[in-house]
Formats: sequence, structure tokens, C-alpha cells
Amino acid sequence: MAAPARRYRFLERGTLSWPDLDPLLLILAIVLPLIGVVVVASALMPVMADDDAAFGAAILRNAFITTAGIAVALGVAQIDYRRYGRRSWLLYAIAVVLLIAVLIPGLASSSGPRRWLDISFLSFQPSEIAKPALIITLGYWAGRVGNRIRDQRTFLIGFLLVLIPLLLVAVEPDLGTSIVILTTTSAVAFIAGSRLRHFLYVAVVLALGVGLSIMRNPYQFTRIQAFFSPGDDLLGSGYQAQQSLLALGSGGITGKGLGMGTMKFLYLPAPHTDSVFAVIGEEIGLLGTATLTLLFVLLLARGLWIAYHAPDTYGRCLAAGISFQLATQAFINMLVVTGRLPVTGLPLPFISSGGTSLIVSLAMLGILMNVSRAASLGARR
Amino acid sequence: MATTSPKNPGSKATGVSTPRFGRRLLILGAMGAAMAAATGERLANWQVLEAGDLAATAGVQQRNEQIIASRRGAILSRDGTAMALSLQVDRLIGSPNVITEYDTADVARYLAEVLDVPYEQIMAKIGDPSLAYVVVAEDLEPDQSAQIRQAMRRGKIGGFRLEPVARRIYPGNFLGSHLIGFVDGAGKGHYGVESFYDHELTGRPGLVISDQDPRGRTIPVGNYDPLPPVNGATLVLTMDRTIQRIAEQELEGALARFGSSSGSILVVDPRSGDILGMANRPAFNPTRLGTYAEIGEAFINPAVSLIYDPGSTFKIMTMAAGLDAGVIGPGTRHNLPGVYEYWGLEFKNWDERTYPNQDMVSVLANSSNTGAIFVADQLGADAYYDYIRSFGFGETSGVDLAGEVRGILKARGSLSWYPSDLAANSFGQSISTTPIQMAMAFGAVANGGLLLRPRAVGRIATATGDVVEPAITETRRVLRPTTSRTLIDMMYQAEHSTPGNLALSQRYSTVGKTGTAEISARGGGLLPEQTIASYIGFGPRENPQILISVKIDKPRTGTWGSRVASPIFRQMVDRVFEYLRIPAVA
Repeated sequence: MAAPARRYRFLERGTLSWPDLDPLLLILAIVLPLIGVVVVASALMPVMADDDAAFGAAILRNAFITTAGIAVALGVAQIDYRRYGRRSWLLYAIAVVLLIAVLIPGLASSSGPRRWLDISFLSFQPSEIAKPALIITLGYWAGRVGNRIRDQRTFLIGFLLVLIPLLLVAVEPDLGTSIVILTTTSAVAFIAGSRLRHFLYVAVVLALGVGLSIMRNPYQFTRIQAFFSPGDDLLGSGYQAQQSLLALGSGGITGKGLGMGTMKFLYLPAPHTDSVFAVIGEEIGLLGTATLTLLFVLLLARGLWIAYHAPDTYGRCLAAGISFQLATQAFINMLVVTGRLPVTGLPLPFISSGGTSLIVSLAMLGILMNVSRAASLGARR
Repeated sequence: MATTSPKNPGSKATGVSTPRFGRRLLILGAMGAAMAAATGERLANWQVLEAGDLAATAGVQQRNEQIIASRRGAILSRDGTAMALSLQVDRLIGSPNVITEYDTADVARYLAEVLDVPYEQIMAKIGDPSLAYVVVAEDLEPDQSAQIRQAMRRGKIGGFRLEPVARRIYPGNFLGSHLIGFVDGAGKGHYGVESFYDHELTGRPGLVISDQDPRGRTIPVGNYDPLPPVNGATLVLTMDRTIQRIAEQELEGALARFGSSSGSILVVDPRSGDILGMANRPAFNPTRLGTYAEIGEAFINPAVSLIYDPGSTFKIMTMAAGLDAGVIGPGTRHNLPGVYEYWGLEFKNWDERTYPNQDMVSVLANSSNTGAIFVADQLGADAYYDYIRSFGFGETSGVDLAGEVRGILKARGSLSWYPSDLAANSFGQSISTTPIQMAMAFGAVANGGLLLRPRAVGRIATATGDVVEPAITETRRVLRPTTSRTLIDMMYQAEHSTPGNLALSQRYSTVGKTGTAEISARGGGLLPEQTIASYIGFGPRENPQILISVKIDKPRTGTWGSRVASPIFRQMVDRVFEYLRIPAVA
């Protein structure tokens, strides 16, 4: 195996140079977070009404995390994805440990859903870390098992690999993230060549699981119920859904102008995170929302192109999994805001304020950039 | 089927043939595209097709209309002293159901310190966490408001808000209360100028249309359309505070002296119609109002809203009419019988004595009823009532005070009029008038024959800087100037021919007429042994500047106007003329 040494010569030089970075991904890695910084600053305005200092601090924090995130993306892009493939089990183990830790009383930050882990000054969501960890682990594993993934036993091992963190996220409970993890890992398994019949088995098992989760957490049922009959609960979940639509409608085609939205003032739930798309809709109008939708379409298209040209199954799984996950999460968030899906509490990748999500999303984009480098070399060859 | 080397899994994609996974990538792409398309379809729907409806719904949801109360104008006396003014004070409203987020005891201790009331008192008000609205304190001092506002902003206390309340202050308390009136809890004026000029005093409330968040706070980037309030106008009364005080003191003294519970003293400038003083008892304190049940008729201004039969003071009107029409002159002589039958009714002089061959001055000096009947009879009913109507009886004077009544004038042609009424009317019985009507009618005699509209307000200064000074309004000419002159001379002679006349001042030359009116009972007839003693006069004789009307209801010690009202008139003349620096005669 001498070929790889020649093919990935840049690794021997030590670092990627700027021209080696995927130009489209580079633009997305800068433009999307910058849109986020601006819109989140606007969405945080209601904080200013209560506390000027808190408003300034929140904007600075978001700007800092965004800058750090872009740096992380560019940094991760320098690391050959195959370097950490073999140690992906470690990443997987860390993710599982953190997911268990968040369930331990006293470590979790809130009394409701246990999603956040507080370690001294750090506060982060283990489920966000689980997302890339699973893609990497599963992708590497798929590369290793190769065609054996079509065997029922091998597939079952892969399924168990996914099921452990998936269940841990589901019991937090965080149904939205669970769905994203499931969709993404399914996409990875699908690209890796799994049999469709096996997916059917999985679907049956999971349907039972979802039923169980809803029985244990009635509020999920309330949200779903509210989604199907929005008029019934205008002060609860239905109210939140309705407010998003009002924001979108108020913005119209061109929007009220950046910063001029009024719905973020306690009408929209979580305007700087889950409902940030509604804020964009109100302030920048259809121009903003459609552009953003297209940017995520571009991201997905580019990711799938990279997957097609990736030199190995592992890289292919990474590219497809990462791009599909980022795009899917974005579209789910948008479909929630536009009233097509029940409220799930998923942030909009790159845009929503929130440290863990933003940095992890950008780190994943960095991995994609690295795979792109390998793919473009392959494509050129 | 090739297997991937476990040592180097990423070296080559060998697991799935490229065409097949390419198709699977396309399926993923298609799924993504489908989600994007679904998003796009919804966006087009909400942001284009239904944008108008949604924006309207959002607008209604956020729109808030807040009425900003205008500040009620002040009422000043003629000399510029505030008689009524409005202050904006805060009251502290608590929501104990929200205070639970704080340590209620801490909050109560803090408020007790700021408001300077016992801790237990605060605790009793905010201690019940089931309540949503509690008035914790009224009428906060400005610095208390500021402290509490700051504490709320810093989050030291929560679940409270300050509610601005308009408070109407009457620094003079009882002084001139009937002229001024009062303002109710809703800010509406009642009685006096507070009611008559309610519109001007109120101004125009402002309206702020703004977008608000669900907690009722204004959204800084939302619509904000303020229409500022226009504050109410400031009124300057024609009332002189000193004259008003003199009148009230004299009235109170007289009521005490004669065992009466009600009466009025009016001081009017006959040249302008300005009401310089209007004292009534019973009165009320507009600062400390009770309910109507407690205060009752004290709210009513007797000088404009209550009627009485004027009695002998009305003979001046009869005499003026006769002189002006030329049917009599000062020297006209006539026998004045003690008892006189007129159209089937007997009319008597007060002493029932017959005075043969008397002139008209004697009619006034002896206050002869039969003399008055003679004059009215000489005129005839039509001409007589023309004059009486011309003097303003049977119609309101047009005074700018709330609640004025017209009185009752039955004239020839009215269904209830009998020919004998002409005789009764000639000396002021069977006719109901208000004190302000009588004062203005005497004013016409004093000022050369003009009936003027009385004024309580001499100046209206709006908040926008416009100043209106209501002009002196002549209702009509009643008498020729010579009639006025002649009658004043006759009144002077009559006053000075009365021995021991208590109405005459040592220092000022005045003229006037006493009245002792019988009181009509409600069911008809007359109240026995009860009278209204009155005196209306003016001076100085050569150039009348001040008209004073004194009316004492149902005096217990003494019934006659000449005993009861005359000395009060003299007291009033001495004090008011001196205050106004009117030169003394002697």
C-alpha cells in the first residue's frame, strides 16, 4: 500500500493551505455563522429591555463562540479524517459517558429534561457531542466491516452501537435530537450499503420505543396533539406554533428590516435558538428564509458530491452523514417553524445561539472540508 | 466479494459498488430536496399568500392603546391664589401572588422603611399570596416613588407597580366651595365652575398607540404613535379671596347670632357682573368629600340653584318699572290703605296702618305693600310683566356656574295666573327667584339700567398659551339711565328717612332695600312664623361699584330684614369698601 502515501502527500507537508480548502464549504463556514451572529444579536434585544449588561454579554459570548467555532472548523479541516478513525471508539466512549453523566442527579443543570451538563464554568449538551461521535464511529465501523454490513448479525451490531447513545438521549428526554441521530445514522448505514429489509426491522422496534417515550413524557404527546389541532391550545404549544407563523407573515417578502422584528419580544419561544428562523422570516422576510434554505440545500448537495468522490467507505459515510445531518436538522427546524412538524426544540445549525451546537456543527463542517480535500484529489485522479 | 482489510479500512471503497451507492446518495439528496421543497412551499404560503392576514393578526395581538390622562387645569382666585389644583401622585399596587418569588418579609420590611409605616401594616396587605391586586399605599411622596421605582428596576422588589393617580387639592377648603365645586374620583367636575368649565379644565387626554409584549411592556422597535395630552386650562375666578372670606365670616357670624342654619351673601360688581364673593351656608369642603348621603344638599349652591320669594326687595323692581314707564314719579302721591282688596283678595301693609297722601319715597321707606300694588296697578299687567321679564325673572341669568335654575314667574297669560297675582308680585310674593337673579336685577338699577350676565370666571388660560377673557355681556337694557338715577335718589331718601336704619354705614354712602319674605310651603300656602330676611344694596351712591345681597333663612331671633339682614349689609359694606380702598364719605 504505497499509493496512499503519495496521494495524501499534503499530510506529510503538515498542514493544508488555503487553496486546498473546499471554497463552497469555506464560504458556508463563514457566512452561515455570521448570519447567526447578526440575527441572534437582534433576537436577544428583549434581554436588553431587562438588562443592558446581560444583552452585551450575550452578544459578545455568541460572537466569541462563533469565532472560536470557525477557527475549530478550519483547524479540524487540517486533520486527516483517517487519523482519528481508529480511535473513534474513544470518542464514542466519551460521548456515552457524558450521556450517562447528564442523567445523574446533581450534574444536570435543570430539573426538567436533563440535557445540559455543568462542569465548573462549562455548560454543554452531551447529545450534541454524541452526534459527530456516532457518525465517525459508525462510519469507521462501516468501513471496517465493509460488505459484511449486509449480514443480519453485523447490522445488528451496528444497530446496537447506535441504540445505546440513542436511548440515552431519548430518556433525557430529547426527542428531537433522538430523531436527528436516528435519521443520520440511518443515512450512514444506508450509504454503507445496508439491506433495506434490516431498516424495516429497525423501524418496527423504534416505533415501539417512540410509543414508550411518549407514554412516559406526556408533554411530547401534548405537542403532537397541539400540532394536529392548533386551535385547541392557543396558550400552550399551539400558541408557540401560531406565533412563528405570525412572525413569518409579518415579515412578508422583504421583511421589516434587521432588528425591527417585534415577535421576538416574548411572543416567540426561544427567539435566539429554536425560533431564530422565525426571527429571520420577520426581519429579512422570504428573501432571508429562502436564501437560508438554499444555503442548506447547497451544503447537502456539496456533501453528497464529496461522499460520491470520497476515497473510502469511511470518508463517504462521514461526508454523507455530516451533510445529511446538518441539512436535516436545519430542515426539521424550519418545518417546525413553518408549522409542518410539531415543536421539537431543535436548534438551527450554525445560526442558533448555543455554544455546544455551534462549535460541534462547525467542527463537523471542518471534517467535511477535510473529506472534500481527499475527495477532490480522488476526483482529479 | 472483496473484504476490507481490518488494518486499513479507509484505503479503498470496496464494500459497495460505486453505481449502487451513487443511487443511494441520490435518494438522500432527494429526501433533502423534498424537505427543502416542503419548507419552501410553507414559506411561500405564510410569507406571500397569507402574509397580510398573519401580519394583521400579529398587529392586533401587539397593539395597545393607552389613554394618557391630561392634567386638570388649576382654578385661581382673582388675586392669583390657587383655589384648586391637580397633583399627579403615585399609589403602590402590589400583586402578592407574584411577590412569592421574593421573600415577602424582606419586601415588607423594605417597604415599611421607605413608606414609613409599620411593618405589620404592609405585611397584612401583601401577606396573602392568593391576591393579585392590592393597594399597598396611596399618595406617595415623590421621593418615595423614586426609591420604589429604583428598587423595582434593580429587582430588589418585584410584583409591584406604581399607578399614577390625579389628586385634586383645594387649599382653601370650605372657602368658596360653591363657586368652585369639586371633582369626583373619575376626574369629572361637579357643581360650580368645576362642572360648568369641566371641558376646559379637563383638556384633551392623550393616546399612545404602541406595540407591547405579552407582559405589557412597550416593544422598543415596534410601532409607537403618541398623541400627547393637552392639559386643561387654568381658570381665574372673578372671586376675590379676601372679599369671599369676609362674606363667609359675616355669614357665619350672622347665622350664629340669629339662630339660622342657612343663608347667602353675594358680592357683585354691578358694572361688570363679576361675582366678587358668593358665600353660602351650609357649605362643604371639597378636599374631604363624603358621600352625597352624608353631605346632601350642602353641595347645592343656594345662590343659583334654590328659589325663594324675594319679598319687599322686589318693590324696587316694581318702582323701577313704574318710573321707567312714566306712570308715576317720585312726587306722585297716593293714599296707602292699611288693608286693600284687589280682585277678591285682601292685601295688608306690614303694620296694617293706613298712610294717607304719601309720595313714592314714603312707599319705599315704609315698605308699603299697598303702595307697591298701586304702582303695579298703574302700569297694568302687560307692561308690568314686560318689565319683570326684562329684569331677567323667569329666565336664568346665564351665570357660568353649574345648576342654575330659572325661578318661577307666573305672568298674565300663564294658566295659573290670577289677576290678584299682580298685587302679590308687586311686593315680591307669589314669585320665585334666585339670589343671583335678584342681585343682577338690582345691578341694573345700580349701573344705569343694564342687565348684565354674572361672571364667575374672568380669565381662561389654555395649556397651549391662549388666553380668553370673557367679555362683559349685556343681556339687555332694562331701564333708562335717568330712571336708574331717580330711583337711586329715591332709595337714598327713603333709607335716610327711616329712623335707626341699621343698614346705613357711618363711612360709606349706600342705598338698598330690606325684604322680609314669607316662605311658600311645599304643598302650597305659607309657612307660619317663618321668614327669609334679606337686604340688597349697593354703593357708593354716586358711582355704584359694589352690590351686596344678604339673605338669612328662617332666623329664630327676629324675623325682619331690617333687624337681621341690614346690620350684616352694613358690616359687609364697611369691610369690603375699606378693603377695596373706596373713599369714605365721612
